[in-house]
Amino acid sequence: MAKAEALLSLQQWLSPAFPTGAFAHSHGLEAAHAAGEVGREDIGRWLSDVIAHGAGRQDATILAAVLGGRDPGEMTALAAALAGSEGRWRETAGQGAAMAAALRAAGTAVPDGPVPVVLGLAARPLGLPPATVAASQVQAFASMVLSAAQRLLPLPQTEAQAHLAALRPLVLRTAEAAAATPPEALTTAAFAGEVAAMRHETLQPRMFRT
Amino acid sequence: MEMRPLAPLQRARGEAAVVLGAGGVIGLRQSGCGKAILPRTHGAAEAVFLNTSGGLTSGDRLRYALDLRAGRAAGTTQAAERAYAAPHGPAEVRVDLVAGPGAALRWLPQETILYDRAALHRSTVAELAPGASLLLLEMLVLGREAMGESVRALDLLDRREVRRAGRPVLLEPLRLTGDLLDRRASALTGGCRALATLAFVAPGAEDAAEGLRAHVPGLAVSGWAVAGGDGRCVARALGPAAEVRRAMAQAAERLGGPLPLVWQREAG
Repeated sequence: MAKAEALLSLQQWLSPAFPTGAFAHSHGLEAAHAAGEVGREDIGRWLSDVIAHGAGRQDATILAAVLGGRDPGEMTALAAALAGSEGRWRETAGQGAAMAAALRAAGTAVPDGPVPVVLGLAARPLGLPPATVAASQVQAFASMVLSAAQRLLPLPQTEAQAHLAALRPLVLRTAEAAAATPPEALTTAAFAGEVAAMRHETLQPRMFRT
Repeated sequence: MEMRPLAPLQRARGEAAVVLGAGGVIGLRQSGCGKAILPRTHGAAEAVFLNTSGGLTSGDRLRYALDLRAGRAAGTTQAAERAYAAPHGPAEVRVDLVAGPGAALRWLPQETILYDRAALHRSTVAELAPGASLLLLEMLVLGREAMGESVRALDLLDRREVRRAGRPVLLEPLRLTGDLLDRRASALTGGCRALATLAFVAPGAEDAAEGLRAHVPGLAVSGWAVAGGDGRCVARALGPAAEVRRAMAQAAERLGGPLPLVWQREAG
């Protein structure tokens, strides 16, 4: 596929307007914020760590693997095993199913699955380097968390955009590393982030689904 | 004059492999610094593993294996494992667990204490047959609290994997390096000294989550969480070492019954 057309596909699929339900997810930020662990002054660091050492890198690695030909069923089982809680799984599987439904409606036939598997399959015909697709997805993930941060902290819109732009080098580095890492070598260091996501499941009251 | 690096010191090697069945010990193999003690118990069988070299450092290779063919059993360690400064590469540890059809296995090692400049690569893999259940605990302590030690340099890879019918069902591939231990890294360890994961994998394990969650043992709200679903119930703790150990001991007992005797010592 011509690169310009491939980029248009990616832009559509990862747009906040693509109906994945991303708006309802905070990736545990709501619980972390409720416990006083993160606020407006350190959201940048929190998100950087989640990208570099948590779900950002994990999803990018699985995405790159599927894009590179790994079996989607095997990668889905891996994603499920890595999901530290039901909330984590719902976040990726729920959005993935919505993404798959929207893709099918837009003419790209893919089965339901977690986000990185669905996107990896959809992106196979695009002919883009895995690191490019992975970077776009990591940025979309960052965008989702910042959107939640705007509502939670609260974080002014323009400040959120400044964070997103500042994250670009890390997003690119994370995507490059993910594309060069076999999924079996995937690791995580975002332990407190996992604890927050687990606590989110029973947080009362709560605004977000995860 | 350029200093040549010293030749690596003599490395420790050890392996202890235990096979248990409903009627007791089926097999026991020990080599090097790896030992396994099988105490008399009134309840579930126990296998207590120990590393007689006194700790782990560069180049050490240690393997513990526990294969439970049937019945109920718990594996544990005689003492906390200590990973000392390791300037010449990591110590490597493998823990291989197998639970046969319907068997109920608990792997409840005592904590692993990581000293400054420790390098440890550990892989714990559990294979569960249909109907088997597993209670798996891993607790890490970063520097000794009583000595006021801080860990600044670290090379830790601690991969915990539970598999059933050839597929992963739980995977926690923890990787911590010194640069990530900052107090301000609130998505990572937040500067906490101890972190632990207790995983219960069994058909219906998710039903245990609510009860477990209700009994929060003296940890900050942000330092304890329980989540359950689809044959898993996982608890995680993050905080000071003594509190994390106490929380995990209580949770493990709640989920799997009385703890092995070695656990009933003063919290260190």
